[in-house]
Amino acid sequence: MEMEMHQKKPEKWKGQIEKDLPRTFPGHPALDEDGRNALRRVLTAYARHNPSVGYCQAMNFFAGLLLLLMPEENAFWTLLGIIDDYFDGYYSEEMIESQVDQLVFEELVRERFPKLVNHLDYLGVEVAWVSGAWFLSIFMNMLPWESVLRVWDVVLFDGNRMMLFRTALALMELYGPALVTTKDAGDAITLLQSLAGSTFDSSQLVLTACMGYQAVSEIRLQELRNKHRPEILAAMEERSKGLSAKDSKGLASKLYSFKHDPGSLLAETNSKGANDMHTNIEGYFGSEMADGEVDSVPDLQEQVKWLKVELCRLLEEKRSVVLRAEELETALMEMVKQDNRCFLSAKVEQLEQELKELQQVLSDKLEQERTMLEVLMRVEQEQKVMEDARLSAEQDASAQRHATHSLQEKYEEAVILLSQMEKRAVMAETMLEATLQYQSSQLKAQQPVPLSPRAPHTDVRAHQELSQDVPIRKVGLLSRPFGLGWRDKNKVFFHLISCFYSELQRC
Amino acid sequence: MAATPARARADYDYLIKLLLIGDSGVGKSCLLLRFSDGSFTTSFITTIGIDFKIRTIELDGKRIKLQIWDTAGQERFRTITTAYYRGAMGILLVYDVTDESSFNNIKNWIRNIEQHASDNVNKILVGNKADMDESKRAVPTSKGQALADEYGIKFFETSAKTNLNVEQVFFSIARDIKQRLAETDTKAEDKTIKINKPDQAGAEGEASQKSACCG
Repeated sequence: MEMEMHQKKPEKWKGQIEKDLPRTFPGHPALDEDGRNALRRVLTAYARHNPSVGYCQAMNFFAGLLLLLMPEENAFWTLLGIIDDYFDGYYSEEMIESQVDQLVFEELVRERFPKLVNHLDYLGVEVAWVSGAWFLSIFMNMLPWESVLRVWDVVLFDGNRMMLFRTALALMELYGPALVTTKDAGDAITLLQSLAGSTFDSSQLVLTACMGYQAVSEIRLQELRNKHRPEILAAMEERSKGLSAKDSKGLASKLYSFKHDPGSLLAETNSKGANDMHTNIEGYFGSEMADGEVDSVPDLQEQVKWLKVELCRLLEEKRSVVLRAEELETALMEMVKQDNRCFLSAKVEQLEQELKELQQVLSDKLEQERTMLEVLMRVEQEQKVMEDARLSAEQDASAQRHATHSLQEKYEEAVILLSQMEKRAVMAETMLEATLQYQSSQLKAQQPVPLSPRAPHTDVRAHQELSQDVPIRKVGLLSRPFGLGWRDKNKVFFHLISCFYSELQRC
Repeated sequence: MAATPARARADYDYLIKLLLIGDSGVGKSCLLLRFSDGSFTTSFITTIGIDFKIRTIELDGKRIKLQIWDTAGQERFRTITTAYYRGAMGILLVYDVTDESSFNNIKNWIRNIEQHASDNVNKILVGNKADMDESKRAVPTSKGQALADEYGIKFFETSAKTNLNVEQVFFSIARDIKQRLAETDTKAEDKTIKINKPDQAGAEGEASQKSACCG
């Protein structure tokens, strides 16, 4: 039985998906054969991932849009995120959240646009007739493409359904004044649909939605959802009761209503319904009832009553079993989700492994960098030492240069002294020559008589003066041959000095 | 509420709400587009939730405004679409003559109607895609007719593509509903005031007519 179910379910999705593939953006160049195959794969993969949703019409458009924007696998994960997270409970078999949202939206419209709602009420229009499709399709095929994509941007950014409400409210704001002029329900709906379809100013729409309805926050929406959800759940229960009633040929529902309102049922039993009921119950309980108590009518009625109560109890039980089944299904779904978590955690582990490796590589690199830095520092130190050496060498050089300089100065002084001495020597020589001349002329005059006695006197004095000098020179250096030699000697000395100087300069 | 018919009188004599139901892909939206816009396209998109079109026709000298609701065929949308059954005066049950399961499902759709629509709602059975090659046909005309007879309703085979019988289907159900409404009106007339002369009709009478239509 269960196997059969499992085989049957995907078959059901498959059929619906196949029907919708050519009805998803027909004629779009990207949705050629390959594109449709990709679309089929994404939708089937999602249906298998989350069987509680399976495939719901509208998802074909979402997947189609995502496939136009990203690779197949990413499209799958994005679809999964949108349906499982942002639209949880929206596209599932019961579509409960979708219905809840419509009630919430209606309340918001009532709150914001009392005049418009007044008119719509008067025409007998429910906003959900139009907004239902807006929400379910996330405005796809309802607004111009640019506007759709702008709204999607915000939906994906927010990560919830807030933008659906804000956009829908913005549309009501933009087109409410036109709607108020309509004269019947059909015109109003047609007008709203066509106006929405021509919302080409996407910026105005998004701005109106996001700035004008900031008060419509996720928290407020959750509050309103919690407020309205019981209505939907009650209606669903009523509906499922109706179905089970059909299955048991109306008996159960009648009995159920008896439980709530025994009086009315009694009345019914007593009147025309009585025979029906009896035969039905007899059918249900077979022989037990058939045991001939037909003669005592009150007893029979008693028994019927008891059986009804019993049946009610059974129905109650059935209901609790159904609830239990639902709980179990939810638990199963959670387990399936956990399965997915296992897969994710494996992925996380793998990523962590990669991260570790990367960290290892990083630390290696850091090590390398550190050694490099050390080498660099050593090189720098050496460079410093060399610099020091160079500096001291420079200092040495400057000291030497200084010494050279002082030597040169001394040399110059010496040269000056020398030239002075030379001058003196020349002067002394000249004087020596003059003296010698004088002496020779004296010698000549001693032989003849001197011409003037006075003159010799002064001459004598001069001579005496001279002779005070001369003897020194005579003794020291100025014997005639010697005098010439001294000159030569002087020249040699000069030559030596100049040689020494040039030598110094060469240094 | 009372003022609506007074205003509406300028536009039409009767307002009739129709509903198209049937399995996914049988061509409900195509039928509706053919009837409302007179066009057909093979590049059709999936209907999400519920769609809506209007067309005003003339029948026996009366202007009849048809509000036609088109529903998504996928089963899970029934929760949403059944909410629209209540207001419908006529329901077109559509199947695809090349798809046997869509025909077999008509029974389920009928059951749906019994549960959620008003008791006196008019029904009509429509086998669409009748233009398709005989080799592809899965439901013979006789079978469709037999099922319609079983439920005591009218039957048409149509093609939105070739515009076969499309007008006839809508006109037929519109005529039946109009007749039913007229009968109700006559009954109402006996009790209250005459409303078959719209220009003289009081707001009260019109309102009762409307409430009768809306269910």
